[in-house]
Amino acid sequence: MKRLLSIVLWSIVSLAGAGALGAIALHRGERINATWFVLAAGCCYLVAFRFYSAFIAARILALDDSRATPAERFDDGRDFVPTNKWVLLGHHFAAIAGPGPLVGPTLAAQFGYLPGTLWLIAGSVLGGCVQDFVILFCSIRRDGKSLGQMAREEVGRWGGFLAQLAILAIMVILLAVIALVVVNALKSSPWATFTLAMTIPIALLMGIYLRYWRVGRVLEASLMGFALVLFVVVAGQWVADSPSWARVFTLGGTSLAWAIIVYGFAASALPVWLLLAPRDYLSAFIKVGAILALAGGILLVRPDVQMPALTRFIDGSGPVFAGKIFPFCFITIACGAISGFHSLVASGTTPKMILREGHARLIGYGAMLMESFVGVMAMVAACSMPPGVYFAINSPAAIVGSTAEAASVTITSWGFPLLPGAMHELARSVGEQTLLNRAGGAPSLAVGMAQIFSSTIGGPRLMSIWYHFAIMFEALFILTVLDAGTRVGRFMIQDLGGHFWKPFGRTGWMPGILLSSGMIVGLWGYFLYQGVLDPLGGINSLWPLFGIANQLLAAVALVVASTILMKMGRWRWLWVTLAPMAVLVTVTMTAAWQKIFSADPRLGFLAYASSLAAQIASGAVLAAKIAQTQRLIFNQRLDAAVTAVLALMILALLADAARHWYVLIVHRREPVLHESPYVATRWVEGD
Amino acid sequence: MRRAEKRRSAVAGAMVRLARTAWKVLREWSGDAAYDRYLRAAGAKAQAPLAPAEFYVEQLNRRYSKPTRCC
Repeated sequence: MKRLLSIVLWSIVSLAGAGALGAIALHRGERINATWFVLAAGCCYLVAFRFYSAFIAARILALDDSRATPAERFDDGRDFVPTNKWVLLGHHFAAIAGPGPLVGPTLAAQFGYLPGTLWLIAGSVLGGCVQDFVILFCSIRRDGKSLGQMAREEVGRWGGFLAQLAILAIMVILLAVIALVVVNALKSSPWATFTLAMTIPIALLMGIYLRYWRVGRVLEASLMGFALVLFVVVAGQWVADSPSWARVFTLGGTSLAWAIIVYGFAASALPVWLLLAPRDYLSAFIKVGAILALAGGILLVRPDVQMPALTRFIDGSGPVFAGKIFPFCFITIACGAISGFHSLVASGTTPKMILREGHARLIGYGAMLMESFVGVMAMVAACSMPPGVYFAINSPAAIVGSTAEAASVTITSWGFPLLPGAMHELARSVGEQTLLNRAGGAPSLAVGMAQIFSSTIGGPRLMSIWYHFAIMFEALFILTVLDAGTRVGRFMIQDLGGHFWKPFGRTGWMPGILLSSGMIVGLWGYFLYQGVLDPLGGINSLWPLFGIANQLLAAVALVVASTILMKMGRWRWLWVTLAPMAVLVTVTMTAAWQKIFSADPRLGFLAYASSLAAQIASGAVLAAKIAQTQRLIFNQRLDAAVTAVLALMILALLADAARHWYVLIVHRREPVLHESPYVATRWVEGD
Repeated sequence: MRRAEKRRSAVAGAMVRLARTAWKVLREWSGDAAYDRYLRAAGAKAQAPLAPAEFYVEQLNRRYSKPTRCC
């Protein structure tokens, strides 16, 4: 009877999911309600978790709850800490959910709602969740070893080296692109700039409180910090209304870029307890709270999605970023579907805290499903605003013009009606002077969130408060990633440099700290600065670079996972990791090729450099702008070189892996698994 | 009357248990309970534990030396 009930229940869930997916895929001409998106995603995730993850857990990985995990064997209360599975799910989700699943889908909405939504659901269920789950399992079986260590041991030295290099590359490009998102969100906005600037003294206050007054009382400090942050969000309005204060906090792109570069250096060099950790506590609370609020808001308001299923920009002529739907939809939406960066968390702190092997399914597979759902919500928020408004916010001035009138003419000619007054009215309602040309996804997502929130609480009166709350929420946790990433990058540079000069490798040596902090900040700061100067908005060149680097790391993770499955003798089920790997490699290589060699100057780095050089040669560039144009040419060539290096790394990794796989296939060598030996758990069921 | 009282007290008891569990989960998730957990682990191994401030700084230094926040 129970079995029959289960079959009936899961049949209903599956049919509901298929029906909702069919509805959003086949709907044309009229608006579609966001409820269909929530239903489609929710049902697909439930079915995938119930059946696909159970299949992977039982048939492929053979999770064994009788086996003691590293948390049990090495329990030291510091790194190895046995943790309740729901608490660990929260930890893992807070660690993997960054700005990517919010910004990526918002940018990819230029293709329409359909491609991004389908990729978010299918990519996560068949790719991202599998990667996170399998890597978490592999790390648990190897005493919590990192991806780089596992690559070195299981694939070979070359694989390990490439993994390290990929991590550093992704770190630099990631930090530059997310900093650019913040710059574009704060540009010419005294309210948003003041709010975010005030989070620094708030974090410092929290840091001192936690270090000296009430040691380790994170909840108290976070509550205090949250109250202060809410106050500064409201106080930002008074700053924006005061002409003298507004002038102080009204900054252009380059000033903001410099401010963030200086901030990144300070966050890396200062003691971690003073700025980085308290900001992280604050951002984790606000992040989880705002995501839950967005989910609740969408369910309550059930907004209509106004963006069509597919736009004319699937042909590659999109104003937000150039490139056709394939491969650029899959590169733009990285983190909500599959993200290589997750494999660093899945082989970092999480495997050292897991109580039982069986929990890896909920934490590895389940947390990624939650992240994908965040991506679907971001897609809904972006697509629920009028498409004309979406394109006006996200398109660079070089394409739509820098005035509301010019933008209105251009965007209306694309088939998305936009009255010039609509942008003025929207900017006024959110307390901004302008919302035009804010490429990067953050402002349009904030507008979408503010519209949903204000439909739930406060109405149009609170629209400006909600908008700035959303901007603060996005910028706050972007800066947290920036702080933490810069610090990790500093350690990686010190680790590398320590091979050549021993004192440089000492993490407590002040000259080493300052030098390595300067180097990592200089690396991402350079890309940030070039993004700010780029007339096409910077996002057009940097976001695809970030996507390529991130998917490269995912390819490294899936190569490691596939090699381990081969050594475990799971030949029959290899497609589970090999299929997503093949898709990723195809997508990444195609995108890299097009970004380097496309003849379209908006898409190809080299073509853009050539067109700029031709403009100088023909005298079309003013004498005063020649130096700036030459710098742009250099930057485009540099981006082409970086993309080429990333693509070559993928090829080298695949060649190395293929060599190892061949040896395993022809049984030339006995497969050696570097698993730690079986130790029976001493914990009874229910611990 | 007595049955209604019993039901009320059972509901109140369940609410208190739920609130306690939620508080415990929140403390664990936020890191508030990290030092208590460390003391238990150090006690089990008969080690001299670090002072709260030392432990706080040490665990932060270690946590933020590897990727903890993703894109």
